[in-house]
Amino acid sequence: MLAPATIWLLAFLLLPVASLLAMSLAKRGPYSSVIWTFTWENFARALDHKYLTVLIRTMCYASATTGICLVLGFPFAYFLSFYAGHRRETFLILLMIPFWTSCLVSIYSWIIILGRAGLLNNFLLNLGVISTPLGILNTPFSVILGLVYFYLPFMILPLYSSLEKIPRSYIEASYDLGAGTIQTFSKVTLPLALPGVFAGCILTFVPCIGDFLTAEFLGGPKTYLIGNLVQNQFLMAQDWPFGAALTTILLVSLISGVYFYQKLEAAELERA
Amino acid sequence: MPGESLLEIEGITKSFGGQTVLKGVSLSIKKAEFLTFLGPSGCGKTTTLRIIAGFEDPDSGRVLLEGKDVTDLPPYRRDVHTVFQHYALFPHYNVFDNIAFGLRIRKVAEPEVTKRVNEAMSLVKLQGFERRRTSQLSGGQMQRIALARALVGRPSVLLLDEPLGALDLKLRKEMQLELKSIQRKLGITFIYVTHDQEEAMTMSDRIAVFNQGNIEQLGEPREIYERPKTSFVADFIGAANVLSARVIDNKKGEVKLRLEDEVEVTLPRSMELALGAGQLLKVAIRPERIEVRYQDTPANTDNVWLKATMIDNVYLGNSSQIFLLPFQKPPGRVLMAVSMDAEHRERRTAGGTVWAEIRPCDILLLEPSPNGSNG
Repeated sequence: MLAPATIWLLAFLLLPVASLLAMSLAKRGPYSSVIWTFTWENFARALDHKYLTVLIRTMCYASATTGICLVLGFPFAYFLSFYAGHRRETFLILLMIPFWTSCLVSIYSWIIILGRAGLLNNFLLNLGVISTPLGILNTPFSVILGLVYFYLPFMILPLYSSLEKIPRSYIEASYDLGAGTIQTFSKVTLPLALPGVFAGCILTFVPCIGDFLTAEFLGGPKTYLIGNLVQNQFLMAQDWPFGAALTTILLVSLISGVYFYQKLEAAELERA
Repeated sequence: MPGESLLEIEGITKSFGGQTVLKGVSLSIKKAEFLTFLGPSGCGKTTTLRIIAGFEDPDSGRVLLEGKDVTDLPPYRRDVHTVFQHYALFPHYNVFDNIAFGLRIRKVAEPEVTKRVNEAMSLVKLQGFERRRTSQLSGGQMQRIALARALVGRPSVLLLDEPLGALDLKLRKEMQLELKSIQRKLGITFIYVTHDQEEAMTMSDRIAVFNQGNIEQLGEPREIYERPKTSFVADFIGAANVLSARVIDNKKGEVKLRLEDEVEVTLPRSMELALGAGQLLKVAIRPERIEVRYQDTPANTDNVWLKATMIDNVYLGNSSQIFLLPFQKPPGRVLMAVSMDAEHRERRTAGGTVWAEIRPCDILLLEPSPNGSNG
């Protein structure tokens, strides 16, 4: 008898991934049809430098976003966990509100704010800080800003939950043994929050890699990301096998990245 | 006591969210003393300990360590270490690094760290556990590591917050004796928080009995047991029969009391309390100080003889627990007597009339509790 979990995995994970893999080895036929063959052609094509540039750019954007989210998110999560007291729930709900709004609405809001005739430029012009509108929209800056905006909660929530799990007696023990606030943070709080840092980084980095809406609306030709490339293969170029190959490459590199990081973590723990 | 007192607490008050936890606790703790804060949960003993450690700020009052006011110093600036109730060993460090934590913070040279950690580990009899992870330790072992970690920095005061609470009874007894011997060996002042009166009796040089945010009595274990000041202390430390008593006559050398407004007794001794005729007080009698006599008439002694109905005689192996009712009026307070006399094992008949013989010096006259209630 197949357990429900097995059926679920089969239907929603294995089958789609298997069809993706099969597709990535197929060939594009005329009029967006697919010719079922066994070829590495798509993968060879993906290694072309113009696609590699997009891949590397995506990695850079995702890394930058993850880094910024970590720098912004950690103090917030720390505050939430240690100092917010009974206002904690309010802050968590405020944090979740962007989640509940349609992401298209959010994106258009950012366009309204950042555009040439947008709120920000108008504000700065009125203040007299600038004399001509700044080209903020459709730059790497606006794309990373959008990504940070969308994925910050993904960073904060795991950070918060891991900080929340640290028994306060550990912190007190550290103070008690003579460690000041900075030493306590670096020797006790931060090491114990590392699982949350790791989870937050994965949860931010991975969706950033696959994001195409942000770059599509807030970016320009120079901010073309791998998500856009994949999207275009499926929707514009009608080259599903190549799109599938790109997706497979992403999938494999992300999974192996996470896998090796965890191996490294385990080895580190073993050594300590 | 200049020169002798190490830690002074002066008039500490503290409330949490409108609820007063400490109502003005003052205390002087001597060098190399084993002092226990004893009391039921919520009595303020742990809060007092946390104020000494620096984890809580008192609303008013001062904490003086070696004559210096440390009330406003953070915990990391006080020469006081704590053994936490649930050990609080750092899970990301092994045993060695846990113990070395405080020394490394103080930038002690690494060879010296190794030497002192090894000393501390042999003190708690856990050599060879250096590389273990804390998750691989049993409760008793974690307790020892927590102790070693707190002692390795040689604090002038060690605070212990119910450190044996999570251990099983046998291990707890072992650790009690060991803690006491470590404390004697190092000559460090220990302040120990517990709700277990037996634990307090076993280890302490002095016991501070806490109740509702006050210290009800401070004294040596024997003093606390034999001369409890209030009914709370009498009842909390050991078992006690607490009775109400009205003063009939208070003369020098003779006190007449009416117990439970019913039975009159004459004590051939003076009373320290200045109470006149008609005033009420409480008296306590330890169960083991009540002798149960099966004879028909009382013997002619100075002792108090109460005629009573035997309600029950419970066999407890090495002793018997006998419940007596010397009073006629309802509700009728029952007296409990405990005796190791073999006679009671054979005469296990309830319902008969017996005599309770009590020496006058075993009727402890109690002061009213400072809290107003419970006394």
